[in-house]
Amino acid sequence: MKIGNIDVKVSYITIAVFVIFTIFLLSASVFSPDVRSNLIWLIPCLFLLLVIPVALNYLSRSQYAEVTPLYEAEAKTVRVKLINENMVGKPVRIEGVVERVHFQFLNRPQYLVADRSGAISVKMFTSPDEDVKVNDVVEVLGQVIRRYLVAGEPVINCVSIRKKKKSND
Amino acid sequence: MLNTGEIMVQTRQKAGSMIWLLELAVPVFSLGGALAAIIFSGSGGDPVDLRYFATGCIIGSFILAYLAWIRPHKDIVALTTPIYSVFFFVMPSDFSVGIILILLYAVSLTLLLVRLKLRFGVAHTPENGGQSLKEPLKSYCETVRQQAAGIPLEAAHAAAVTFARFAQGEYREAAQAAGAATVSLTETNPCPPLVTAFAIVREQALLLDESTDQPEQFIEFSASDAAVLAKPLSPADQLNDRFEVSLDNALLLLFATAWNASAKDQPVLLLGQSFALKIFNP
Repeated sequence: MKIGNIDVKVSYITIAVFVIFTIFLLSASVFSPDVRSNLIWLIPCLFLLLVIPVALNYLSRSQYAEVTPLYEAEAKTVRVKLINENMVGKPVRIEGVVERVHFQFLNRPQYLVADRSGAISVKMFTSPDEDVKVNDVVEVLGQVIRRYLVAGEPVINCVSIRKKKKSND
Repeated sequence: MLNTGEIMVQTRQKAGSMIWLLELAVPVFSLGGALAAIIFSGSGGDPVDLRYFATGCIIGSFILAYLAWIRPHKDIVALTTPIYSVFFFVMPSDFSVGIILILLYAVSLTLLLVRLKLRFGVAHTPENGGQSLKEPLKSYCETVRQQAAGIPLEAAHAAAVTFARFAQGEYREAAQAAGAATVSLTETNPCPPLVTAFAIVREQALLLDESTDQPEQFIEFSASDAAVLAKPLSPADQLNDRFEVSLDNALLLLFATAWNASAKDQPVLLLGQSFALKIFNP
């Protein structure tokens, strides 16, 4: 779904929540006259379960789209091995192969991206522009952060992840 | 460009001001909570549950325990205050939480803080945190100790600055520091591999700063340098490995040289120890 130039994505979990509550509401309205009398505000509330995540996704993606050119200008291309805790806050660019993908269904994907020198966790707090899968060769732009903000090993807070070529599979 | 001494001073100031704020937070939270309890209990109207105001004492207890924890000598009394705060103010009990209890507890926390400062020494900061070199970095530094003996202090300091800047991702500054050190070292040349190490770091830092791809020709250590290198040289046909191992060896040699020949830079080097260990054992 496109709003302006932003391609907004609805996560599977959002759809699942919407479907489950729709079923609950339908069932309840069949059996309970009280629920039927309140449908006038229950149905809009139900749709808010879809609208709010979509709005949040639009806001986050539009912000990411704004900062991506800044990162493209500022970020240095580094090997994964050179990323360390002294670089926290630095914009970086890495190129590598996606070895693992987690939490895509939440629109908060986490990738394990590896190059010849090592592997690093890449966290994204919104949905990516492209559907990135395991074995894709990608270019990642982002900022070095600690995994748990003030503690943990360095990871990349991803602003942009783009495929560099088609996966082999 | 900041040198390592300035970095140390900045880090020390940041850590010192953070500890000072935490020390201030103990009486502010605990006595502030007690003061709020007095004000609200005397203001008439509906009775207020004073446990809410005891939250300040609980927070103050945890901060005091942290301040006790980061000191070289541990104060068991201050360390256990969070337990007492939970017993007094959180767990259900027969006695009710009153203003007197909150006030006495807050005053006790403040007195314990004064006692902690007077009797249990200065808190650890990242500079004096008692860190030491870990293996295999420690052994490697021992290995190059003899070679580092004749290195001028300025060159050793430059090695520390170059390593620290590179670890921070400040590649242009690292290249500048390495370039300046290379010029000064070529006059005396007490340790040829060190000159090569500076040249390698300078070259690769500039490539990283410009986000340039790996070139076909690059500076490398020679086979005669192998005795002072942390990692074995890669075979000639493995271009990528040679490029990466050259940088690893160069950075580790700078670290070890600075560690052995410039004691004042050791705190800064310790801050970059995790990076050095990472390139030692990827």
